[in-house]
Amino acid sequence: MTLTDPEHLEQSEAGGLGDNIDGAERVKRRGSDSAVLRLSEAECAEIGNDPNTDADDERVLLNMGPSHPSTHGVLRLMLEMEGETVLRSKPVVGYLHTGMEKQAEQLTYLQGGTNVTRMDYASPLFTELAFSLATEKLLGIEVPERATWIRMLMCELNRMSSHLLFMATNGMDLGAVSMMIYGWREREEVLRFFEKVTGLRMNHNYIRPGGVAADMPDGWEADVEHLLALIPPRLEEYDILMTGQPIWRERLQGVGVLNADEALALSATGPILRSTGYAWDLRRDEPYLAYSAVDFDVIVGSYGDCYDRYAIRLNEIRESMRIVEQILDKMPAGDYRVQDKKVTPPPRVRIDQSMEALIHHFKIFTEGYKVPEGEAYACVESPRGELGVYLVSDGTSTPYRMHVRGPSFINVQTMPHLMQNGLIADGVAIISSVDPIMGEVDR
Amino acid sequence: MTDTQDAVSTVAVTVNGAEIQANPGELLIDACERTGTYIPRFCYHPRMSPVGMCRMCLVEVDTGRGPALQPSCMLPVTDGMTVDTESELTRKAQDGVLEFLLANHPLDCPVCDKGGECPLQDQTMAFGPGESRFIEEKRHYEKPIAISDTVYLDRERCILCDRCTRFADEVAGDTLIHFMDRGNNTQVNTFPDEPFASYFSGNTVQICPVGALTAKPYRFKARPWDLEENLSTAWTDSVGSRITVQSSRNKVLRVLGVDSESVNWGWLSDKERFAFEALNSVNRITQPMARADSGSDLASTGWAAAMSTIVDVLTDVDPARIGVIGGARLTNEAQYAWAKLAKGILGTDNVDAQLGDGLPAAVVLGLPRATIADACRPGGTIILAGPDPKEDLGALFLRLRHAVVNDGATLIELTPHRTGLSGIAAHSLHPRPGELGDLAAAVVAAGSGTASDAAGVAADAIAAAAASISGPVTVVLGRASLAESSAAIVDAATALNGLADVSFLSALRRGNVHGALDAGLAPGLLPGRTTLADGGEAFAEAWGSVPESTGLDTAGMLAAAAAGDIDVLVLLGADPLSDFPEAAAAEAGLAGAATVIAIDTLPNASLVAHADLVLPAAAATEVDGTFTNLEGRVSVCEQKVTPCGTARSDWMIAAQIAQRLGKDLGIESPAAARAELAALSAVHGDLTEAALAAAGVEGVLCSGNGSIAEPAGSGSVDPANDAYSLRLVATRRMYDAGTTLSHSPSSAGLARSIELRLNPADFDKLGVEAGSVVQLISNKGELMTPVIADPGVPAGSAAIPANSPGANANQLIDASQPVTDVRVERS
Amino acid sequence: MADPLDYLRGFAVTFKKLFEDRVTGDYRGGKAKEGAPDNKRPKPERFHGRHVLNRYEDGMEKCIGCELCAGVCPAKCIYVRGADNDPDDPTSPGERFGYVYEINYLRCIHCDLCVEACPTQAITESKLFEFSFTNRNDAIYTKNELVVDDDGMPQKMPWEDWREGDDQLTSGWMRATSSAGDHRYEGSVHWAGELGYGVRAPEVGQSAGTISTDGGNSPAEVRSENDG
Repeated sequence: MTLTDPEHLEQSEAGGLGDNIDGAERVKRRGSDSAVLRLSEAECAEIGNDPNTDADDERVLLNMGPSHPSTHGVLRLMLEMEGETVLRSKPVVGYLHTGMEKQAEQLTYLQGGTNVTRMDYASPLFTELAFSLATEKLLGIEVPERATWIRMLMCELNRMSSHLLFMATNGMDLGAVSMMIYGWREREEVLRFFEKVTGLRMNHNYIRPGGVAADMPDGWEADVEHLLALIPPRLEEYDILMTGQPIWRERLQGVGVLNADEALALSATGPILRSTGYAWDLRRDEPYLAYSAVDFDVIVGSYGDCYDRYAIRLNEIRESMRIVEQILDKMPAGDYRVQDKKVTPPPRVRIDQSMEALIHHFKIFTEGYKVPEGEAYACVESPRGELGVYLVSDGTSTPYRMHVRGPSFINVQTMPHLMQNGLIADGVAIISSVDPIMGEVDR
Repeated sequence: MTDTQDAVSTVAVTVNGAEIQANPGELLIDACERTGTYIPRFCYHPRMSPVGMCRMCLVEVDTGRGPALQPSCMLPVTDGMTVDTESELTRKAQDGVLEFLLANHPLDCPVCDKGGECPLQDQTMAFGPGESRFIEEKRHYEKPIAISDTVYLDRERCILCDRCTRFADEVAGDTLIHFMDRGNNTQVNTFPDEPFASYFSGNTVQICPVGALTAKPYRFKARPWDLEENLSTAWTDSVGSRITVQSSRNKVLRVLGVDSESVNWGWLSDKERFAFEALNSVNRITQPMARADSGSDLASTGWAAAMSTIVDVLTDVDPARIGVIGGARLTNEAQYAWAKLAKGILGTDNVDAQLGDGLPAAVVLGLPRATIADACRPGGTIILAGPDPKEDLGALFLRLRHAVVNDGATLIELTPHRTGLSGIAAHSLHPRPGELGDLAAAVVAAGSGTASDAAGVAADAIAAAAASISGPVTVVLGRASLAESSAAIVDAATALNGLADVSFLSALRRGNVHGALDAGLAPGLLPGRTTLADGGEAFAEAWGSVPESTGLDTAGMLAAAAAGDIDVLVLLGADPLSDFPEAAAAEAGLAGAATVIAIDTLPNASLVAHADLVLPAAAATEVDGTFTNLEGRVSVCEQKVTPCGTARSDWMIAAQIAQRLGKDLGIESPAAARAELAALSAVHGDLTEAALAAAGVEGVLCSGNGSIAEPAGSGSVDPANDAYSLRLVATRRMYDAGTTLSHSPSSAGLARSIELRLNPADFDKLGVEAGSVVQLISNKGELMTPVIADPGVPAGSAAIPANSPGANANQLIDASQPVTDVRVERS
Repeated sequence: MADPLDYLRGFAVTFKKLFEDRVTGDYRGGKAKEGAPDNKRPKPERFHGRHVLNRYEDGMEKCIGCELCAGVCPAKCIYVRGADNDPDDPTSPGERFGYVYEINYLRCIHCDLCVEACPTQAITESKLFEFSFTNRNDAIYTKNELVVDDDGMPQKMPWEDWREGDDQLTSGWMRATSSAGDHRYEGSVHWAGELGYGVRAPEVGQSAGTISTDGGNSPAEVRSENDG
């Protein structure tokens, strides 16, 4: 087989650059018209080893990653290049696969949080939240109001930290190294607050089925207010440094374009879908927690390009702060964990006083609580899109099966379509703008 | 098991709205569980009679007179009964019962061994209230009191469910633990100054639904969440009790009984339960050892060097000058590998798995065989012509006892003296040692109308015993005393075989000895219950060659070795010095053999004194394979931990020796050995992997006599009766100075020192006093022993335990005689 | 067309930073040369750091070897074995004490479920996080290294960077989670005193202390809520 083998690599005249077909049809195409390079590893190796490959053929197969700074971890892209133009590409995932979904079957619902929180490590609280919501659905319990609002507060702050991280990496990928430092600097402020509340900067295991692990610490309002005061002027700086910056605009505008039909056909959610002008946000469209009680706007773009995706995230930070401000006002008092003796361990002092409490403490921590047979799906709007956890319980204290609908995993499949017929240098911008977290892609 | 589908004999019961079919007389709690509705309980145990103590199984029942709470463990099902196990009333009752049970329960979960696998915890989680209203002071007792050497009792934790006390009373018959005091002070305890010295005490720990009874060997060792377990088979005696072996961090920490309907019903003797400790012993043989010359100590060496030595000594040796003693420790697969190595490759028939303390293979394999269930048939008759099952075969004892006490089986004892079953036996006849054959013949004759005195037993006693024989008869046949030869037992067996509807249950005690016989580890025998004469041709084809003539048994080999006619003696997990009935003969034989190779797990007397080369073998929890019990039932032994040190499986050692000798044993795994055995054997044809898997805890029964003919009686002569002497009776005890027990820390101290038991009538005649130390003299040796009076020993007999710490009866026994006479003298 | 000034405004943002305070600190992980600054940002009270095994104020070990920590550990990094206390010279109150206690820090994920599970507050966490190892043996902390010394001070391994006050906030997560979501138990003491530190103060709860926790519980109130 050679690079010119028509079956694999022929570039159709009609289906190439300047093709007029668009919308969902485009992403559904197969064969040489597709943006996706459907080439197995074996075929790829065969081409590479073929001494008869036409030396004049200008098409090159290039492997980008899995160890490449701009691939956000260990994403590998197999690119079919003609000069600097990407004709087709294929994302190859699995380099970070650690069997976390399978691992979940060994861990009790109490321990489960420590596992799922490691999937999307840039927004760990969201996976914890989705896992907890699914478990609570199975248990049929209602979490106390305060727990709901604490969850909302923590998640919105996490959305800010996650998007700030995106600001940093997006800037870094495109050569704005100062931006990298600034993004990280602001994110660190948020992580410090997390550390104060959950004891950890990341991978918190803070949101648990039934509520949250601990109440807000003394003086948390002041800390949140400090963040709300600190970040807006910094975002103004970002606007000067990037949003209004001609270099930045030229680098991103019109790059990696997707329209709403295509995004829907690819199941893309989150900023990618919203950048096409399609206003879809689970917080508004399928409200969970207490999002119906707070005011916020769903930010949408109009061109579906990298610039829109950047701008949406930047403005989502502002929207999150708007929500956080409202939470500060509305935070209710009361219990922060459901007071169901079969799910929540007893207050520590009771285990020295009550036999029942001691037994429940012992069993909940070792064997875990039993969850009724059934299945449940719960989804939340993570910074990357719809993050869903599907749980099947067989009535024991560990899930029979857990599946995570990870937005990063789904969004990675938009890459070939975003990159097709673009320059490889734009490929870096595109990968960055999809913002995949490989821990969640591979699970 | 009754057929639940039989519409004619079932009653309809409505449980939680759904109709189920139950057997008349079945308890509601059982009927519900069988059909998938679990009712919580503490006191109810399916193998014991219901008592309704704990009230946890209260459910709402309507039998036509309106719904009411009734304990489902005390309530037989009736037609049209309506039951609600989840009603509000039921829930409230469960909630209340648990609250009461927990009111006095101490806050011990974190330090309690039961924590994590505790029914009280589980049911509090599932059915109980989440919080306590009890704020008063709880009941207090002294924290754990050791009620025996292996069991601790914590009375604060006890919920008075009556399980342990019922077990001791109903199942084991050792009523040593009981309720005392009344009201709020009711407690379980032992009687003052009387420890819970039961051979079955470990079962009470296993069935205790809380942590009131805990086992010393497992105390604070692990938690259920760090244990892994395998279904396996107990290896310390030949009952083949089903067990789970539980380990943590590659160390076996606990053995629990598994309920097997056909074998042990979940019960274990303490020896089966706690003997695993020996396998964790620091004295385990971890690497090959060799002796430079006869005077020096054993020194560690490598496997390669050891194998070279073996090849050297086995090359160019006349097969008749090689002997293999032992093999009852091995799995069936290893036994087959060794049979093939010895008989097929080395070409010797001098192979014997028994150490002169058992029965001829023809008696074990050639008579109609019974299962334990056969023996326990309601309305049947059990004739015990063998050892005391309570001492030798604990789990069998519990089954026989249950059959006699609960199922109306008739027990007739033909034993040298009183046994653990005598209390429930219809007739206990104690023949003079060596004259069992006469007694058996007299019993059979009395059945057809002619009763006469025999073996020192009066005619009317014989006639009464014969008259009570009814229904199917099972003879539990074994070697009751080491001091009498097996000839009398062979005679008895042939005589009893004349009874109508009779079958025999072997009571050979040693581990997998029945597997060894089935694998052909006996002179003149080949695998699959076939003789050299019958199966020689087929096996010669499969193996290449088989020995031409029948070889020597252990006694013969030891004698030949003493005479310089054996060069290489392989001790395959055997200790002739301790176990062969005549110590002097064993000593002479081991000393006379040019090379003694011992393959074992722990050092024993013979190995330490005489082995020139020692190979470390993997123990029962370290190998895969199968085990054959005294019924011929094959069940799985699964490897749980890795072998100790460089120890290897016995089959592997056989394969390596063959390979080093330039031959191919053709066995590369236990499964391969099993498949070869199944293909060649006449009785193991059903032993497929699928059959073993399907049989689960019950195991696969390999029945049939193969080609072994029924044995003929020897027509032994009555031994002469010396008026000045007593006849020696040397019986086994559960706890003795055996290798395994002496390396098990919690059991080692339980072996009692030697004591001579005499009939009170003999004291005056001998001029000794009970309690004094006397000298026991035979023509082979002498022993010092305290003497006590025991009316259970017939006059004229002198009973001593076989292998006591510090004094072994085999120093007195003359194995060449039908009986051994001893004189008792004041010291 | 882009405004050419927009290029310069971007540069102005970065240029201004030259005159702002640094947000980073001088940190040398305890290995600073004489006089060189080596600042460590204080850790919050709830921080999950290296574990310590505490003692009661009378010097007895709190650990009873119950293995609850090992049972709840999702990373299976804790190895505990219990043993019988010598009645004449007990290591801990009661029958059982922790005879073996090991934490493998190559596995530990610092989720602190062990701290929440411990029924005697024996295992809590310090604020120390700088403990990197040069060999695997160092990473497995044994009981000797985890248990506090005779004054109640955590033992300081040579490779650890302990600073003044790092030991003071130990057990923050245990205290933060001890009310288990029940607001009535917030702000109250649920734990015994510790050697060297006494009874540590509870966090200020958001609606603290309606239930007294010093032995006199009010089970009727608790119970009546359960019934409903």
